[in-house]
Amino acid sequence: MVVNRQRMDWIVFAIYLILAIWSILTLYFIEVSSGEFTGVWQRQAIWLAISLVIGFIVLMIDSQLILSFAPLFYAVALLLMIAAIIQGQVVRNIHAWVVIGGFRFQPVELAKVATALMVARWTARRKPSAITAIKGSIWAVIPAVLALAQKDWGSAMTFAAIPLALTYVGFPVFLIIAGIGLYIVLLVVIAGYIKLLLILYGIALVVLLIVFRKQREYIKYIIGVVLVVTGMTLSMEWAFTRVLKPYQQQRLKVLVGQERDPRGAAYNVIQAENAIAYGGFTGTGLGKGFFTSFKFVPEQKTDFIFCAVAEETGFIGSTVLLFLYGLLITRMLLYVSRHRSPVIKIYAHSVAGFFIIHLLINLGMVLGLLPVIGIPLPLFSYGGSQMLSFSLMVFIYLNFSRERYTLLH
Amino acid sequence: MNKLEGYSKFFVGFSIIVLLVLWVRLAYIQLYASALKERAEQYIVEKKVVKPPRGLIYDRYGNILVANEPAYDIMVVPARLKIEDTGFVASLLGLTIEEFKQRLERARQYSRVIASPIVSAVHPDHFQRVQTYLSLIPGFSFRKGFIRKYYNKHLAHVVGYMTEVSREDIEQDSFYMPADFIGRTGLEHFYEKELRGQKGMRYVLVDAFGRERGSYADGKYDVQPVPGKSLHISLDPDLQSFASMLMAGKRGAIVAIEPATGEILAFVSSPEFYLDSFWHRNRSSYYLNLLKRPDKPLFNRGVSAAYPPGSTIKPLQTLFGFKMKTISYYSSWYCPGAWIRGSLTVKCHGSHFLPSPQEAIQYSCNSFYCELFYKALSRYPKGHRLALMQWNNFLKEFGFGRLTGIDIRGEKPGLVPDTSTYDKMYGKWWKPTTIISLAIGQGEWLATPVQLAVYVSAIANGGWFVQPHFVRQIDNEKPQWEKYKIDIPKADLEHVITGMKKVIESGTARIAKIPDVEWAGKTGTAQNPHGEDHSLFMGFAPLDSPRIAVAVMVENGGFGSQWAAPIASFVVEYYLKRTIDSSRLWLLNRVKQPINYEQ
Ligand SMILES: [Zn+2]
Repeated sequence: MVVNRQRMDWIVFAIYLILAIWSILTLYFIEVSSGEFTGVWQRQAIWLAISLVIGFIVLMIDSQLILSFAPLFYAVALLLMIAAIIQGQVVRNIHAWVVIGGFRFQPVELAKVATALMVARWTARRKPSAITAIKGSIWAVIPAVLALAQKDWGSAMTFAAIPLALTYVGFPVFLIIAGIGLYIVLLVVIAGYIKLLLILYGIALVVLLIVFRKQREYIKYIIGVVLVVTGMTLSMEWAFTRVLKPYQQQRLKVLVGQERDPRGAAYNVIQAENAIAYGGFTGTGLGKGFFTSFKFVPEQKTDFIFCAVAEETGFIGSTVLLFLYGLLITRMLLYVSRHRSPVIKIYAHSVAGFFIIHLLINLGMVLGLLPVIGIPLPLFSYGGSQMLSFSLMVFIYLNFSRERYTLLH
Repeated sequence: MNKLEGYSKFFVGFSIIVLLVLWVRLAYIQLYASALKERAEQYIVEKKVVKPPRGLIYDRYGNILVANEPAYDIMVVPARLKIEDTGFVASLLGLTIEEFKQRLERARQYSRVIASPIVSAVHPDHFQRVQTYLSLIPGFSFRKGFIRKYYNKHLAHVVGYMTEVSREDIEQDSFYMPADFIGRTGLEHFYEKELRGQKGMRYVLVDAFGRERGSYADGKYDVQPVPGKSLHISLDPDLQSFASMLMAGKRGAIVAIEPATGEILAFVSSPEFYLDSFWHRNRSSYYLNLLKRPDKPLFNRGVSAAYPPGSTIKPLQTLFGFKMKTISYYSSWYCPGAWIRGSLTVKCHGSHFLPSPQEAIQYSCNSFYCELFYKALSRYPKGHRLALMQWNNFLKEFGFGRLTGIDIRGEKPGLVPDTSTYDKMYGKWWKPTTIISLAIGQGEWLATPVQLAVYVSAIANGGWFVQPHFVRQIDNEKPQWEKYKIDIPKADLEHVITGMKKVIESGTARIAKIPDVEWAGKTGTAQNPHGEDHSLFMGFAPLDSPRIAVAVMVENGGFGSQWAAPIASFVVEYYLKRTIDSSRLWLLNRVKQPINYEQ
């Protein structure tokens, strides 16, 4: 076994610290704005301190040891999730909380770290191929299904990070694109634009037939795909209008922003948009946000925390924040790209995957692009579970980043 | 084991696209969606101002004098407005087409999509009709407001009127918004800050059509309005009505004060106008007509009309003579029917044989006062400048030549000339004889009715200056009013008061005698170069413990005994006895007659 010592990825560590401290400051200024001090920022600071302690312990453990514990860790996380379904606390209509020693936390957050480790360990030992990648993704399907059983749609969707990460070992890209396409089609159907969609299909068919008119062998595939897609779209429409009861339809419509019920879910989105718009280029100044101070945006300390940043620090502040996340993600991938161990690289992809999916779902919601599905902004939203799990993810990455070695089992 | 090189290009591409899409959306919302921002400020959660009820006004006996009545503000959303017949709508709102367009423009500048008032305080009587028509026109809506309700018809110059705020008002004080009302005169002006209260704020959810959909966050952030403070004033409403009736058809003023405190019992400036009309539909034309009238009803004669005080100040000149020791209680000199010095002649009313100071008051002997004043001024060689300044200071102590500090708008200081006044007129070369007309309250000396009332109060109450005022209490607070002792010996005062008593018993104001009431007063005539002289009187009653001091001025009423003295006597009689003795009804009928101002 050749061990080649490398420096730890200090830049990722720095970004991690900046984000976590920025989060605490944001929470502090939200409290300044609203004049209500509930101890939220102090608690977040304590969570950061705990995370750092755990993080430094993680850094002291040998990376091999961590990997060898991955299956156990994975099993424990899944068992906790099952425990949460059976006996857990219901908070915000989600059966996803367990209480241990007075602390309440969501095991699904732990499951994200465990899954990232498990997938890296399992996949790295196999020949990179589409089959390996698809099989590897099953490790993510299990916690995702459990999260669905907890009625936690948002968390379930975050496990899409794993197939995305596994494109690195050959997960078929067209499956991911098809998945995204299907999701968009679903949203459009719920929104009631089915006719528009069918017209678009027609146009696509005509355009494709003209483009491929010389290659006759493709034509049957093209027609086949369009027919399948049309069939799926129509059956979704049928399911939505005939199977679902009117109040269920209503709820879904609100979810996609079709019904603007000022007091319902759409209210959050409208107020979030207002707060962000109010920030303008330079923001209102820290502790001076109008919407923040009047708490117009519900959940402004947790899922909608980005609104406070956008309102009080404006386009400048929110751009810097987005840039930091972008830097974190790309830096991880680029830093380990010259490492030799596949485990590290796959693991880095998974961690980056969780970050980008969280950003997409959370900010997509806050910015009014996607349905309101509550998941936290990583390392930023108030809450111990996500803070701990993302810290753990980052510190395990930092641990791995120190070494460039070849595993010879 | 295959080698894995680099990183997933799809993954990186996907991440970059996601981040870019989010960033572009962010830029769109924060930088380009200025319409969104406007909505952000006011649209979904709208801040609505809640007007506080204006402070009430109570009379001397704790009864309501001025209250609020519900009225309606007519609101407009310019963007939604669809008017076919502008002329009809304007006239319905009591506006000319020009005014209507101006107000619409003002509303437009405020906001095109948020309702703002176009006409506020529409009288409920008229509102029914307005509502019937305007509710059919998109863009109009209504909200509740207040108008003033007056429980006495003669409060025009005391309470004062209110009008809509001007652009300047809004610029000077952020409290005001377009179509708010503000006190312009009287107590409404003087106590505007106390009466107006504090505006409240309501956060309401508003849907895309501007309709209210309940309060935001169950009203957690709402700020309740603070009602304006109540004024408890010293006015006696019955006396006020009675005094106004006496002045009907005349131009002039009555100011009645409680001598011990300075509280105003009645305050009339005639002609009056109707405060109610300031809340009616044609209020602007009503106001314009008032401005045009030759008898100037908006002119508050009680505090603003400054005329020479005439003989009413003879008791004061007597006190000055005692103070300067130019006369004693027993001084007298012969009045041949005029006072003559060199080429100068001041006429007297008939001739008086050796009048004493009291008889000089009783018969209003001009010669006596000319002599007194001349002596005071020429006591020392070239000492007239010093003496004039002493005289000036003495008068100012009584409230002449300065503001008395009455708590309504528009008080004028009048004028008590000093050396600089004459230096300006004559250079340094004026002599005691130049200014001798001051001796009998004529010439440059100007005083207002309220100054006369304050001065007679000081004589009545043993030499105290009392700041005249209406307000006794603001909510539960008692304001502090100025009060100080003027340096005059009690004996001097009593001597003068006896003279004033004789004025009524058997002097110039015999006509003002009231059965069973001993009282004192002094007539006066203000010379008027433009027409008939102004009739003046001041007095107080009863003699032993004065309860009312009164000053009356009737423009172009001739001698004081002709109009002012009898009017004052009825004010006094009514206040003390709440009735008029049958033996004086003939006089009351005569006094109630209007004065013909045609010529
Ligand atoms: Zn005489």
